[in-house]
Amino acid sequence: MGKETLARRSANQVVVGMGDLAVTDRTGDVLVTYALGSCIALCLYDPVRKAAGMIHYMLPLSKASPEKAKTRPAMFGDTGIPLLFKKMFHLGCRKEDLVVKAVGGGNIKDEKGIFNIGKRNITVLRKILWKNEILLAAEDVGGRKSRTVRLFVEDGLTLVSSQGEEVEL
Amino acid sequence: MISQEEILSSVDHLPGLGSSFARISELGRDESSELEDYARVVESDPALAGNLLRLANSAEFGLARQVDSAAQAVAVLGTRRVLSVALATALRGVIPGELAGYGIDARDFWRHCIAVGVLAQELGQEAGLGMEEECFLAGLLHDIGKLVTSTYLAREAPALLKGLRREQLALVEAERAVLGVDHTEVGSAVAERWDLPPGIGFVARWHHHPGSREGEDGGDEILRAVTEAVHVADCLAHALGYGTDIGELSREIDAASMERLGASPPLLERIAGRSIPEIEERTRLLEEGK
Repeated sequence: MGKETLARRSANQVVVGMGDLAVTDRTGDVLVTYALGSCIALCLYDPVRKAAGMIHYMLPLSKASPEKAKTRPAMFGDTGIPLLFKKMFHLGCRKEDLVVKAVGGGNIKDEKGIFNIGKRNITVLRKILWKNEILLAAEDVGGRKSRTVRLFVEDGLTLVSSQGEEVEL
Repeated sequence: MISQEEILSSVDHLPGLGSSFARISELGRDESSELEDYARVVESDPALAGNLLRLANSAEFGLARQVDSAAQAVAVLGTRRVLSVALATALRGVIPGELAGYGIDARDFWRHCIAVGVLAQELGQEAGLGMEEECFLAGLLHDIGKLVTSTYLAREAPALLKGLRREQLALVEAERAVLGVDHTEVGSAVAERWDLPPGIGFVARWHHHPGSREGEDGGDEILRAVTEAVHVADCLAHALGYGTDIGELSREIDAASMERLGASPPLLERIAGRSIPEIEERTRLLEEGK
């Protein structure tokens, strides 16, 4: 991997668990989340403030379990995504500086479209971003695969690995 | 190439489930068994005792008083639940550190087993099957065949990956292309070897194809419904990222199963929403006693 420097390998991993989110402005940190399946990792990077944020949400809408949404808002797209932006703003980031990328939303084979959690996760993301006039800089979504994402605070490098291959997003 | 017979006969070399589970199953069949008999078995098995005590003291039972003896735990949980925990504990004990052929470690594999158990239980409940403990156990044990196939697949990883990625085969098809058998066939042989209740072997055999002809002919209606619940639960667990192994999302959902269970996407999301904390809690409670 050309982008793999010694500094990167020794970066301090901050694991974002399933249904969780994290923000950081420590230059040596790398945010990482595993096994996305149909879940989505939304990655925010602020090159000006040198800060990064990531959410790994599992389900599109909090109405699936309003009680859980109160204690675990990052489990759901509609409650977690706004919270991630809010946390970035608390770090001093400005909306116009944020580079936004989305990864995940895979699906099993489903010809009749009856089992579409991945698609619904993507739809809720697009709706929220559209309403707030935020553009996606890059995305790697859909398909029949699961993914792992790494986001480096140092320069915003975003690496997506799946089925033994790693690519830069 | 490895022969199908070689793999199926290697099931005999799989470690047994230990004596606690066998003894508790026996007590379940013996009408004259008493609480003290269960307590004696539990006391002789620290891993099982630890799991039962943690469960009896968990929020699920919400007891004011601390449960600190095996006999109390058995009384609180009931003998069916004790059997289920004994089986889970025994299974956890035979999972190797890594299932190399599937690129997954014991922890994640275990989490997948629990997730499918919990989700199948919830789906069964929604569908009014009234077989909740059975759904949980069948879900927990659906992938036992992988304990055997993993070893053989580890040697054939490049061929398996080629089948999955380039040819876009479903996991079970890719396994058959490489090994001549898949983990579901081997799973029913493992269930037999471990002397598990017959329903467990049936579900392990048909959980990828709940609607296939043999599947419909081989089981009664209730067993078929449990198989369908485990099938949908398995897909849902993979979608949620619980135990994503080399097969990942390479599978197909059976539309007829979804329909018969009345499982619409909003229902699945509701079930997932309320099950996620439960999956995490049970994974914590059913860790091997260390």
